[in-house]
Amino acid sequence: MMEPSLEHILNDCIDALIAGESVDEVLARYPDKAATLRPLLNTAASLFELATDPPPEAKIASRRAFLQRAATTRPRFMIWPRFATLAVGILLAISLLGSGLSWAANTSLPGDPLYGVKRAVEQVQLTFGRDNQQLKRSLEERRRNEVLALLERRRKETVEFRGVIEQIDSERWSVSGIPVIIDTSTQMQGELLPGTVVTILGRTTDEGVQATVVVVEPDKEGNNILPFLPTISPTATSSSTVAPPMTPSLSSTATVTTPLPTANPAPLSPTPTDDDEEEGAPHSSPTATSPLPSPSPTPDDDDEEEGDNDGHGAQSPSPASTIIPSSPSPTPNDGNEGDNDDQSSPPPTATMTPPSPSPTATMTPTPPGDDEDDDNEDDN
Amino acid sequence: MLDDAELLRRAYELDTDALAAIHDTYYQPLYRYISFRVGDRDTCEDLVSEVFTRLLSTLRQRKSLPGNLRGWLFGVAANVVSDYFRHSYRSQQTTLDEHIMSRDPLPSEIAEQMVTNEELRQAIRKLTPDQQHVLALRFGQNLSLQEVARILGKTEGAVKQLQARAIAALARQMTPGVVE
Repeated sequence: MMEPSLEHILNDCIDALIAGESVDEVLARYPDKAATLRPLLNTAASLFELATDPPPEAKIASRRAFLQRAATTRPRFMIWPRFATLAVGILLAISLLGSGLSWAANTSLPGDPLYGVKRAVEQVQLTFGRDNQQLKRSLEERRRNEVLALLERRRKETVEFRGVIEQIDSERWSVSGIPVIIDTSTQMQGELLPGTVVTILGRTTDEGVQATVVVVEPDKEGNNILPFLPTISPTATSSSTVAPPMTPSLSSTATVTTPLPTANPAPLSPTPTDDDEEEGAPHSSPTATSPLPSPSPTPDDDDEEEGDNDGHGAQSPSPASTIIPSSPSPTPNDGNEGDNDDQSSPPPTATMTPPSPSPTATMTPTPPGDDEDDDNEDDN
Repeated sequence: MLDDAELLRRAYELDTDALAAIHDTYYQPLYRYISFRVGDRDTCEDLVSEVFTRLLSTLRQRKSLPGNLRGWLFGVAANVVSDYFRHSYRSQQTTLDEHIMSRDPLPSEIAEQMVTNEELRQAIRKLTPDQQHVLALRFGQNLSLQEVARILGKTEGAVKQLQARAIAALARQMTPGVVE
């Protein structure tokens, strides 16, 4: 049995550990008891390693399942919940057809009384629909339209939608035309780049959707990048405006972007992956180490002076520090080999300049090469 | 931000916003609580889901929930974890800590950390339920003694005693011979 004074000291020490002090710092307070306390405190300190944070996609999946269960299992009298849920859904869908209620439900928004009906009908449609992919895309668009309607009406509601990152500008993003606000509390996972399809979880505010979770969430086919979309180097993504996704009219091999022309060269070197570190292989990525292919002088060079909150002359990557940087490989098709191919590639066939008056990235297509991944089904 | 009482009132009506707010507020703390005691990531996700299922069930049956929703949820989480270890054969196995597995490949470090964490979790399972609960709340959630006392419905003194004895018991298991 532990003596009372030691128990008291141990509790004080644990308080200090939880407050962030190290074992040695805590022991320094009780040098005469250090020998006794050390194994106890080492054990206590090791407990901090056990709990881990959940992956954001798990939270999204759990939320979806939770709300779906809540929406589909309301009546208490059900004997066979699944059958009854389905039956009610079917009856609901049939009865709603052609009725005024149908219209009301269809136009309802998150937070409206009939919104649950709308989602239940959609579930029935998804269950019995023939072209589920088409339907899912349509429903995703409906979710986005709902968000836009909420924003227009300045209503504050919890929302979830899927869309394409069109612009990353520090704390303000554009995802499929929807303004999204990112802050330090936003959980983010995946390579968040312009052109990436993401699921956003958040709440509508006067200025956009305040995101709580942003996660790259592949659809059932595993696609999370729209075809023909550019990837941006870490430096480019960490700074302000990035051009919108390329249109599909570009060559299917167009993928590479050039980094910011104003960027400090240092950050341009790729952030090596751990594999790279182990191998010690030099990077041959053209975006990373080779001289920039004319970093497309921005129309207004005075951007350097004005726009940068973060700026000290030579621009350091701006604080989208929460963004997980992309792989340094410029093509999504992987492969260091592919990078080398770039040297002998045909000249670019298209250059995309951003429409913004202060563009910061220019996209040039990569040569034809590894294109197997470009056959992704469209996610639109 | 709605307080727990208002959230609960709306949650009883199965209001989607209220349920979403409850989920978003408590998912991470519950996951951390459970991952403190269970190393397998998929299992953690399943068990958190089970906590929310039980919440829904309680709401649907109009059973009363205490004003302290957080305490209630952690209590359910503790029961869910206990049920899991009681009923699952997996409790007899040494599960790989997937949280560590997902990190960068540093084999020796991974191996050591996996063993340490799993040994720790096994040692924790030998503590009393209250001691386990206290450790998970203190070291998994970094809650203060007062908060833990409120959640457990005990005095701070009782929580301190549970904590100190739990650490001593754990240290005895982890470093036999060193700690008496």
